[in-house]
Amino acid sequence: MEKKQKVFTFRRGGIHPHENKLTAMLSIVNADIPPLVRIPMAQHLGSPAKVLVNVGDEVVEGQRIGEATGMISAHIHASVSGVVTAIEKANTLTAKQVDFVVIKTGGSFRNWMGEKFAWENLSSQQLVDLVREAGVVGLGGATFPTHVKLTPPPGKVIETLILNGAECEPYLTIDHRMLLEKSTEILVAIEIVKKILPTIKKVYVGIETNKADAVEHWLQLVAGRSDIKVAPLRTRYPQGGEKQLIQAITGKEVPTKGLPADIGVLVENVSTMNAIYEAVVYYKPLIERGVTYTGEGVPHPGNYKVRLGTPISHLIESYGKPARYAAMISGGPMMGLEIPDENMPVIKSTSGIVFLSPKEDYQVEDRPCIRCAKCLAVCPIGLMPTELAKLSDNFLVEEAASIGLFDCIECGACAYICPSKIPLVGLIRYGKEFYKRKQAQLKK
Amino acid sequence: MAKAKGKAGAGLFSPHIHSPLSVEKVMWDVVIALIPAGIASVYFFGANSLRIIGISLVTALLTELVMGLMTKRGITIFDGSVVITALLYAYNLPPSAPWFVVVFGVIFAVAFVKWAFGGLGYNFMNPAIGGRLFVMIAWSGFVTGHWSPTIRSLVNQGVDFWQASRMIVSPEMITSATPLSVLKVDGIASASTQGFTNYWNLFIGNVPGCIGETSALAILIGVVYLLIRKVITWEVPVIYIGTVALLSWILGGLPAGAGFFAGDPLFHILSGGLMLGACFMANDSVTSPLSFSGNVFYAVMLGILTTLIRLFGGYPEGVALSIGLMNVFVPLIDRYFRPTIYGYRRSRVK
Repeated sequence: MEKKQKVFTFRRGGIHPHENKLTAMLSIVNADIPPLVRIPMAQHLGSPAKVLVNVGDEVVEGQRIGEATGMISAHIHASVSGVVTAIEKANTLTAKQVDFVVIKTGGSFRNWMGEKFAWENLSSQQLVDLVREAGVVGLGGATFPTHVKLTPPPGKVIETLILNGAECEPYLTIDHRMLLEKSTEILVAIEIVKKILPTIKKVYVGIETNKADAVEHWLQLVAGRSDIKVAPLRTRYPQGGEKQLIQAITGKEVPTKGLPADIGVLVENVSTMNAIYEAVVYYKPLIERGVTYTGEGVPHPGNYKVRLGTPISHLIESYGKPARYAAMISGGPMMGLEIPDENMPVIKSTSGIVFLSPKEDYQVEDRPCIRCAKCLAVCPIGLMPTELAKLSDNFLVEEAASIGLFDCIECGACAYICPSKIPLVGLIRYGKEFYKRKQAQLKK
Repeated sequence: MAKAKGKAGAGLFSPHIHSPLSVEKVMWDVVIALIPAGIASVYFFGANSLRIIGISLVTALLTELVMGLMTKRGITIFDGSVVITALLYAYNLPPSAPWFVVVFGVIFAVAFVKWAFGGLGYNFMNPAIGGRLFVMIAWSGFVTGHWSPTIRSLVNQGVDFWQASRMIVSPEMITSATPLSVLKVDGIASASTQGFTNYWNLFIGNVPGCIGETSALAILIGVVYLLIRKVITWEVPVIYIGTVALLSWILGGLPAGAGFFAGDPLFHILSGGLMLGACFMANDSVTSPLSFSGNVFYAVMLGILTTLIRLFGGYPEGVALSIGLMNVFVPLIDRYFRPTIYGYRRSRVK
């Protein structure tokens, strides 16, 4: 008899929406290079990058076209070779009026995966520099600059590295494919991160059990190793939330307003690990990422490697879209954002393009709260979402802040379960914004 | 929920998918769960139950319709919540309750307790409890003084259903008391000689009382359904009933001078309105606390109040009073009983 593997999970709350992992069995395929890319300078958390090129410049693929500004920022690279035809202001899903560099594709392309560079003798700082040079950010969706994460504040000792392969969002399968197809690369990346942070003693690879083949594959891969452990995770949303993942695997909680580094933990998404590998071993900047293109009725769903800046309209031309759909979402349906304009490009945070069918349409109705407390039951943080939303709705944001407004991770479990279909997360998010604006005004 | 709603952004913002749960599903599930108790009420109290439930339903639906239109909320009678109120209110009346007690009590429940404070979700007290407390004061004789035996013994003697229904509410028959009032006035020995400590009768509901409260069996069937459907959680019913059981065992002997630990907990659990109150009214979502710890506190307090009123108060029964009182405390309980937020436990230790 095989020993039964322990399954980890976070302590409270959570939901289990329909998984709809339609593309789980489809290997990652390179998408066509589009005739034109539009690359925004804000693709990461933190301050936008500064444009380094001018209209008319010829650029080659991988050339730095945006320079990081400030402590938390990341470089931006040309994802294709070609000519800069315009530098314009436009909106991304998360940033308003940022610079976009528009490149008309042309010229030669190179094979990045040709020559391997030796990294084993590089110093910790040199390795971090390579990651920074490549503009690597967290590819799970939060897009926090990876080199910042790899440089913990003085005094913080990272002892545990957790690889986030939970992929708890419905529909998305790109991390699942990464775990299956890029496991050797990810294993090397683990060694690289351990070289950068030699205090790391334990490495966990967290994978939800709905990806049984990935769990099995990794169990075989690390069999006999005591430093790397596979942590099968119960399929439960938001298992892949950083705080939940840490709690599930280590049993520890990140202190409020604190960082995982405060309790000696570093969490990296598996796609990010692959990007670290490519940055260090091939000097390849982050110019493309895996995107799950999916939804009911999509003619050619799949997991595609897409050049950053590729307009979504180009993907639609290549892979089609359903005749009828309720919304086109960037990311997963739980935390993603609706894409209002097909000209918006794929950026570093685009883990998926999901077409929601009309029957999944999320209609917000004006129903009163019946205080059923289901939102409390599903909140993985232990908040009272209905109270926070009511207070935010009435602009009583100081009181909301005193009962945990800013501890909300906006996972959406409460709004998902709410029988009255109150936009709880929307109201909480609005309360946070209102609070910040009010504080800023008070300072003046 | 309106002011910030435009900014909260329907559609554009996450989450984009939603569970199939809805207010209607929750409410109609409760209505389904109340049906067994309704059937039991007709079985034990005959056509009187049908009359009371019918009047209560019609009046409540009309009141809801009028209030919904008056307050420009539209037609809200289909969400099921008013049906719950009408049924629960009816279940809380004795079989002999005259029509005006039914009508005005349920109007008070729906129009005042529920709509005057904003309709569904905004009532400060369970509407049925509010209506019940109102008629308890306004027509206390009709509501707490007139009890009828069940029709079962008559039917078993061969009297037909309709005639038996009429007989049990005739002036000659209305002398009977409930198990709890006999206990209050004459003590447990007397309750025992009248057959009220027959646990089987108490369990199935073959005792005098309010029409929907006597059958613990029918109520439990409904509760199991709600637990399976995950409409309710276990804590309020279990802790409320558990507290009453514990306290009535410890203190139950005191009024008769029997000392501590001489009470009859099973008698207290099965008699009166405890089952109905604990399973359908105390845990009404709108008027019970939000957090687990809040619900535990609330349920323990309910148990203490109910037992103290039953044993030492002026009324034989304390369920409605306790629930009404604790309902009013719920906003305060919600302020002080909150779940521990992730990441706080540790920082507090530091």
